[in-house]
This record gives sequence, structure tokens and C-alpha cells, in this order.
Amino acid sequence: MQSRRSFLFGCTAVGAALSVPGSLLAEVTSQAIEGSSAFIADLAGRAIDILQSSGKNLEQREAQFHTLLSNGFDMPFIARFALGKHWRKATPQQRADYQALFEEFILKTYSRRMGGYAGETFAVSDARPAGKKDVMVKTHINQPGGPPINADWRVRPRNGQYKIIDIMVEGVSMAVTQRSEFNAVVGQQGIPGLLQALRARTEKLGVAS
Amino acid sequence: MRNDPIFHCRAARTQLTRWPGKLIRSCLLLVFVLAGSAATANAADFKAGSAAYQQGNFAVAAKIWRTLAEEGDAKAQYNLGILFDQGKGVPQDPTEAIRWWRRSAEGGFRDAQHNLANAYIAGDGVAQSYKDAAHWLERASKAGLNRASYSLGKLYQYGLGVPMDIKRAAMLFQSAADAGLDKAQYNLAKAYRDGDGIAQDNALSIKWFRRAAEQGYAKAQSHLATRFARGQGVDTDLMEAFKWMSLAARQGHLQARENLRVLKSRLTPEQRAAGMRRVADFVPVKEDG
Repeated sequence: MQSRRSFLFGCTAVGAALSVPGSLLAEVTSQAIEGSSAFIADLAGRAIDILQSSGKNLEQREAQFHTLLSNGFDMPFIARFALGKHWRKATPQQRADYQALFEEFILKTYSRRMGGYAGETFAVSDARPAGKKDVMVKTHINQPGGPPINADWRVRPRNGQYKIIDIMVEGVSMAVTQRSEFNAVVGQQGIPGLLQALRARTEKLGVAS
Repeated sequence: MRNDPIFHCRAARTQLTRWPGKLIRSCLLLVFVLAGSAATANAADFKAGSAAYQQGNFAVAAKIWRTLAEEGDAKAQYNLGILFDQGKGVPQDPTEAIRWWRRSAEGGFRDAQHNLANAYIAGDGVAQSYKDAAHWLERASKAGLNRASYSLGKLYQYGLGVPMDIKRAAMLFQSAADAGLDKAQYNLAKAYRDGDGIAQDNALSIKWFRRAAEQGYAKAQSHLATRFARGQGVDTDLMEAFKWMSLAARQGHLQARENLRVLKSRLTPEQRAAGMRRVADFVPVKEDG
């Protein structure tokens, strides 16, 4: 597993390579790009720390990921995006319930996925502007005995703070995938149906020992 | 391990002519010992699967649990279902997850009954059906699984897959709440507040909001804060209101965030500082539920 130290060094190199003239980076400053890159590197470093912490069981590692991701993601933004046009029609109570359930669902899903990795290494390979406001940070996740996974993190810098607003895995946007799935459920069963489905998914129990 | 005694039997066969009676007896004994130890061997295998799972070696866990699952072990069937549901060690396949959970659920394993029910509600790997969900939740609830009682209560509350019955809903919330499940405590508190399926009682409503809030449940913290701000069922206490509203807001509760802004404007700087100290001192106390 790549150490946090070498990981951060890798990032500095990327940051330096991207210090191109400001005119090319119309809206997003090079400072924001470097910041986004360092933010993802730091997040990955913390993730590696969690994975390397021995003596902890999987549930404990997942719980730590839960906290890590909860701080790193702009959950209200992602939730709103995923509900798409239906957000406007939702009642205040439905919005509040949806926000809470969505956050629980997403954090559970991702922390389960990430908490289980063993022996993987991360490396930031590139960072460039995405749209007018965001930075896309490209990473490779190398897994032993399998092909590397290309994961791109869409980061939105705001007031010196950085939040992830989407993950592209092998070029597929998680936010867009989520939105089309939610759209289908709401189309068939309305917002209450979507809330029930999210509630049911977060209610599922984990492995028995 | 299982091969060893068989090997001994074969080795002994060369001496068959000399001590046939003794050999048959010892082979028979081995058969009994093997049959008796099958359960112990399964338990050991199951544990090996769990150890692999905890280390993140999901493919190994899947292999071990699959062998046991195919032999009819309900707990292994349930765990294998989870691996398929989450795509750990096997390709993600909700239909396979359902197949294993169903076998386990039919074998009486209540966690599988619960997950199968939730898959029916979400329509994951199976055609969406509240009726089937209610059936399996009913079984898991009767087997004493509090989460299932709570979920079943929600179905009765809204009349999904069962006739609407708010009395039954309140009873189910009560039993799961007594056992310590925060969501059930919160729902029971609301039922007491509104007199839904249970005699209206502000004091009991506060009691249950507080129990869920003490566990760290954001919605209950937000409601409890509102009770303190309005003096409903308790004496008005703006600092307590501030404490609980802040705790809920910190967890991202939207309504609490808005209400907190209003509350802050009603407090003196000293009161706010005191409230912040109460927030800092708060440690959620989880119940078992």
C-alpha cells in the first residue's frame, strides 16, 4: 500500500505541473485546482490510515469512513441534484426526510464499499477545471489481482473549503446514475415511494457473526 | 480435517482379515464422531468465513459461506446474500441476494426475513411488494427482532400492504422503543404527542423524544428542542432548546438549522455561551435496540 507521504509528494508534482497561465483557466484559479488536488490527497491519506489501522473490525472501519465521507461530501447539494426536477414539488417535510435518508443511504453505501478495500493504493494523476466552478481530480485505485479503477472526483471549491459533489467511476457519474434511478422510482411511486425505498435500504442489516 | 478419519479407515483396510470386528467397530465409531462433529466443523468454518470478511478478504468469505449455505446453514445463506447484495467478493447481484435471503428466511433466520422484507419494499432484486414485505416483517417481529417491529409499525401506520391500523402501529413502536430502538422511540413520541393510536400524553411524548435524543437521534433532538422552546409538556427553557437544536443542526437536520438561527437571536451572549458548553458536554448514550 502506498504511504500517505509518497501520496502527498505525488500530488505536489501534479499541482506544480498544473501551474499554467491564468488565462487558460477561465473561472477556476490554479490555487483552487491545487487545493482540490491536495484535498483529495488528504482524504485518500486519511482513508489509507483507516484501512491500515489494525485491530479494528470491518464495522469500525466503515464507521470511520462514514465520518470521513460525511465531512468530505457536500451532501445537501448531491441530494438535491439526485432528486432533480422533483425537488421543487416536494413538501418541506418530504425534503427534510429525503435529505436525511439520502445522506444515510449514500454514506452507508460508500463506506461499505471503501471500508472493505484491502491492499489497494491510490494515486492522484491529474487535476483540471470542470465547468465553471469545479475541479476534476483524477485518481487511480490499484487493487491487487485486478485491473486499476479510474475514479475522478468532482470537487467544488468555495471560500477556501473543498467538498466532493460527484464521483465518476470509469467515466460514469454516480450523481447522474442516481438521478436517473430516483427519477424512475418517483415516476412510478411518487416521492413517498422513493422515501420508503431509501428507508428500506438503510434499514437492511449487516452480516451475522 | 474431514479427510483424515477416512484415510485412517482405508489404511486399516489392509488389516481387515485380521481384526474385522474391531475395524468395523472403530469405523462405525468414526462415522458417529464425524456426524456429531459436523455441526462443530460448520461452526469453525463459519468463523473462518467471518474472519476473512473482517479482514476484507470477501472472496474467501464468499467461498466458505457458499459451501455452508449449500449445505443448508441459514446464517451462512443470510451472509452470502449480503455479499451478493453489496457486491463483495462476488459480482453484485440483487437477484442472487434475494434467493439466499429467501432460503435463509424460510429456514427461520430473522435477519434474513428482515432484509428480504426491505428488499420487497425497495424493489431490489424482486418485484416491489408491500404485502410480501409485511408478511416477512410479521415473522421477524414475532421472532423478536425490534427493527422488524418498527418497520412493520410504519407499514401499519400508512396502510402499506396491510390495512391501516394506527393502534397496532403504536403498539409495535412501543415494543421496539422499550427495547431501545431510537427510531421507534421517536415515532412513539410523535404518537403520544398527537394521540395517534394511543392516548395523548405530553409527558410521555417528552420522555420518548428525550430517550431517542439522548441516543443522538437528530429528528428527536430537533423535536425536543421545539418542545423546550414552546414549553409544551415541559417548562420553557431556551438554553435546553438551544442545546438540542444545535445538536440536531450539527447532524445536518435542515429544519433544526433554520430554527437555530431564530433561537440564537432570542438568547443573550451569556446564555449562548452556556448553551454551547452544554452542547460540548453532550455524549450520546446508545441503547441496544
